[in-house]
Amino acid sequence: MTENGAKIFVVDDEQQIVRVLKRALEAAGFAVQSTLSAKNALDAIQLWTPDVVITDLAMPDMDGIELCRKIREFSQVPIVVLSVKGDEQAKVQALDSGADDYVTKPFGMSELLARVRALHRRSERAAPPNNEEAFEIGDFLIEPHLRRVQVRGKEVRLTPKEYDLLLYFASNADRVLTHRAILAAVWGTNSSEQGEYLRVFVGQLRKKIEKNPSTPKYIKTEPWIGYRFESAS
Amino acid sequence: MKKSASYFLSAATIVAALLLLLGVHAHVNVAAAGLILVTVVTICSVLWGSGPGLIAALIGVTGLNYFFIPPVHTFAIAGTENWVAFIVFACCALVVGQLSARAQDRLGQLEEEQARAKVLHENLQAALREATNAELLRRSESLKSALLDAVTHDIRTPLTSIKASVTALLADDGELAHADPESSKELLQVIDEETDRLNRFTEQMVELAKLQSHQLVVQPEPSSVQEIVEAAASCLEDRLRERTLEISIGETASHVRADAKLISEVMYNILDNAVKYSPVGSRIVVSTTPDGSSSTVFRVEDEGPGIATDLRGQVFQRFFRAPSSQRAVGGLGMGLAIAQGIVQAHGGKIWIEDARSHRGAAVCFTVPAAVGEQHD
Repeated sequence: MTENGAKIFVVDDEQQIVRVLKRALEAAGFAVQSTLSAKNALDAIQLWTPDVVITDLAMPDMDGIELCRKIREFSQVPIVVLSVKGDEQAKVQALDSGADDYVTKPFGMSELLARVRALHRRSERAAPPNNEEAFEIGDFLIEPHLRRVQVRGKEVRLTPKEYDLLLYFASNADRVLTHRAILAAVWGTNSSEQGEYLRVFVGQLRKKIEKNPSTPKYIKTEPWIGYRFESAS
Repeated sequence: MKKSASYFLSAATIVAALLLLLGVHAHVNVAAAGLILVTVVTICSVLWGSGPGLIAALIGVTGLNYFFIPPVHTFAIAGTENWVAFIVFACCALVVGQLSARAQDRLGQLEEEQARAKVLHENLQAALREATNAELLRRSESLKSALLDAVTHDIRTPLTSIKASVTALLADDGELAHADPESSKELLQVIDEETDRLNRFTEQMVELAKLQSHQLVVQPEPSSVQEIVEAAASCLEDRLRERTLEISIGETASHVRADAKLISEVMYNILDNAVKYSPVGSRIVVSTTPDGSSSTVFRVEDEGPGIATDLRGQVFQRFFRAPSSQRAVGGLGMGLAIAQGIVQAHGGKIWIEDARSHRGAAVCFTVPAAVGEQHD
């Protein structure tokens, strides 16, 4: 599958990983630039304006978390972080610092390419025009002015909080959203430590929108991190 | 002992002393009897304390007056001399008795304090032992965790490159091999290099184990320094591409008498560290100079952050990693420990200095020179 020259910027201090990513992404139709230094990455990203950034988490000159934070000061480019499994806390920090997704090392190229494609699609899709206009996303039709939601052509009745939660998920489809980010967006910044709210409401929302809430297709759990909303089952 | 028993024993002792003195009455004058009774009062005070001592003193004074101070067998005292003797005896018996008792009490207190101090000392020692054990356990846990992190990094990084390459090659029924043979070849090269890296990692573990159990066999022979350095650099070719390697071999330091393969391993480990810790685009300088007539100094300088003076001895310990590098830089902390083991097996020494440019570190080691044997 080719991606019509979408631009991917790769940052990793491991030369070999950069070589592989460059070759595999180019073979998949992406234009790729790379660097082994996080510090160099900042200037290059500003100049080249890539469509997606892939970055390692642990790098000697600047870690991936700091890099995400600095990129977010000037760009909303989707960021995928690569990390070894032991970096659970670091992954959460990276996502809270602006990363959109993470992939655990070692990874299969197909999975990474799928994540990159999903993020690229999302960034290409126009964002919901404003809070009032109806928009369609995958199996969902959302009409904000009526606070009404249809899933697979059928209307579902949601409480105000369930609606707010679904709207936030739909507006950030395919991104990994941390518990903290969701709580802050839906319940306000003071609620960011109260994870139990979220679990209860996600459970209720799944019962209403999923065909089989025990194996959810739309609201996927990212263990210990948060959730990812996929708009089409 | 009960208090009443002490009083009884004290009274019985002084009475017994009086009876004995009465038995030898003809041979004992007032002064001698007084001295003997004072001694007995002192003993009673020491043995049973101030109260029983006081009883002994009173009985002694009464007995001395009744049996020995004229007129005997009355409580009257005749003449100034006898009064003086009586008063002196009474004062001595009372004061000495009380002082002895107090001294005895103080001794008792001291013994108690000593016993308490001993118990306290033992408790402190036990607490210290526990604290030391806890600290050792904590250190050992933290070492295990650091080791696990490093092993995870050193194994998972090449595995990541291998898995990503293999899955890219396998995707779409191996389409990449037909569509883009050049990319396909490069991915195969990466697999090849990364399996070598995993193999080297395993070899390092084995080498370290050999060094620890003194099983390393050194076969010194005249060897070219240039070849040693080039052999090490070629193993790091890919990673050295981002840096400039300068090699400067002194004319009189071009050959060493050493096991070339092992010294090349030392050089590899030092260069590997230099690459890990120095920025992309920086210089790494390898040089050799003679050290007197019998040995040659190898020196590897980088332009990294350098090594703090207080850590320079520790970096040669197995699994030691500078606190600042534990997350950012991969590695188990085996390289310099292996390097030191090999250098010492050659009778040389290894140490860290500031780089001459004052930017970065210089790792230096000595190896026996090949005097008059400069042929390969």
